[in-house]
Amino acid sequence: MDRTESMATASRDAGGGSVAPPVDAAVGVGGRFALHALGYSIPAVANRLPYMLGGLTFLGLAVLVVTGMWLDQYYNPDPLAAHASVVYTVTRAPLGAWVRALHYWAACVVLVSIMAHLVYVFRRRSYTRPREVTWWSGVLMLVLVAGLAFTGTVLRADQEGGEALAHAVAAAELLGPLGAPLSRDFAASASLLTRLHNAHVSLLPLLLVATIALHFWLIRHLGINAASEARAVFSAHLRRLAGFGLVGFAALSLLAALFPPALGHRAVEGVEVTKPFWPFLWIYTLENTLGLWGMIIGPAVLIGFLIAVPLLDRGHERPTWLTGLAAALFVALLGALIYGFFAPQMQHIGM
Amino acid sequence: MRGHWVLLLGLLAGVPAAALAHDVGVIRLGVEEAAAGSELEIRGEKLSKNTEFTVVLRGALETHTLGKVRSDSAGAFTLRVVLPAEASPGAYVVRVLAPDGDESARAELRLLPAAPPAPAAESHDHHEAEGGHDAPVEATADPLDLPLDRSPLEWAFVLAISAGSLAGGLTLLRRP
Repeated sequence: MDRTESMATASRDAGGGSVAPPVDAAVGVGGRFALHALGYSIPAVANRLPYMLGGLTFLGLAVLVVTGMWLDQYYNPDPLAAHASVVYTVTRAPLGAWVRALHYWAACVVLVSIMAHLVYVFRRRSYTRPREVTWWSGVLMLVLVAGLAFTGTVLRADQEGGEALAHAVAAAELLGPLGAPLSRDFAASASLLTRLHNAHVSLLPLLLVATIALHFWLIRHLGINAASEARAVFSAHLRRLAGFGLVGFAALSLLAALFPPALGHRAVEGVEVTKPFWPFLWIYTLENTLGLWGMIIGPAVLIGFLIAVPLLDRGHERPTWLTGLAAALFVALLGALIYGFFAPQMQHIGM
Repeated sequence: MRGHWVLLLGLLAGVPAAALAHDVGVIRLGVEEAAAGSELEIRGEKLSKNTEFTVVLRGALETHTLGKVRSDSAGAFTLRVVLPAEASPGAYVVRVLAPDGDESARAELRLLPAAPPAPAAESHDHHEAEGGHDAPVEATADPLDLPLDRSPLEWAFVLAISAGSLAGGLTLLRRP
């Protein structure tokens, strides 16, 4: 065994830290990019698909970033020109219809995978000490992804987008000073649509990147919560993740080509004839039941519960009532979402 | 040998001259926004002298010819046009085209709806209108019927990228 190999072996035996060969061993392209740093040890069970939901969510976000940059080349955030620019993107821009469909389906995948990841992490109690901040950063990511989905809907500037914008304004009015950034008077020099476009392409993505960086940092240094003794190398985990990601992208690509998402007619103000983007249908059900306050109370209860979870479960086992409460919330959310799909269309604003 | 250098220098000197063969003219509209169907005065300067130009209104989805005008001996013109009433509101560019079709000058114009906005529309955040396709007055949840025909090249690209991703993914998953 030469000196380099023995150093690497010793480092691995010492507890799975990153393998840092001497500078003269860092040769080739991989060496120059310090890829040997990815050779650290992780639980072998992390190579199972349920443990990869977070990584797959990240890959979905990467697809959204790339397709979003393409779409933004053709998008005009001027309220008078927004809808026409989307029509132009879909009908005339090179690969525009496919890229927009890819963006839509990738958003759907991200929303499903982030929720599945959250449920799986809850099931494994990976939010308990010392991983509370990892959990809370995940909850913040969920909020940011929901914000991106909402602003993305508004940018279409079709009837559904116009109604979503009207709901945002109504929610801002209900929230008083807290809702000021979503009010029309917040910045008289720029329209609300333009400001939501800015939020969609810069503010929210930047916050998301910072939160993802924190999330990854904590996972790297606090480790993956797994009882298994078997170990694997992280670089092999990345390779497997990339494999699933590429197969998923192939499916997404064909889905986008065969089933492009619809675009509605330009928005007509003051009426509600559409239902929201499907991940928000559970809020629509709450609005049907509780009125406009439903769209504030529902998300507040859900986010409040998720934030409280690590504080409510601090023992050796999860309290039965907490498991029951979580299950009840999940069933209620799923039920409200399905009901929202079939519920009669209703007018909420001004009622 | 010396002749080659002279020829080369002559050619190089000709490049900027050729590049400047088309005007970098200026047009002034006086307003940044105007309603469809209203009158607009367009003043052109620093254009080719005694040349006939075509003035068009170009949007994301539609283009309207506003008229033809001839510049004077100073390379200037004044044209009064009526903006097409049927043009959809939105962001447009007024373009002055030389006889060969190249753009000689341009200015941005925001076209407002011809009819006064409905009383409820106190601001334009709700996308009162934009260009292009059928614009129903009544709200509808129905999707637009857009032509989504893809060219064979586009299909080939999509299929190639899908097949490449699938092959790459399966290769990575099969590796131990």
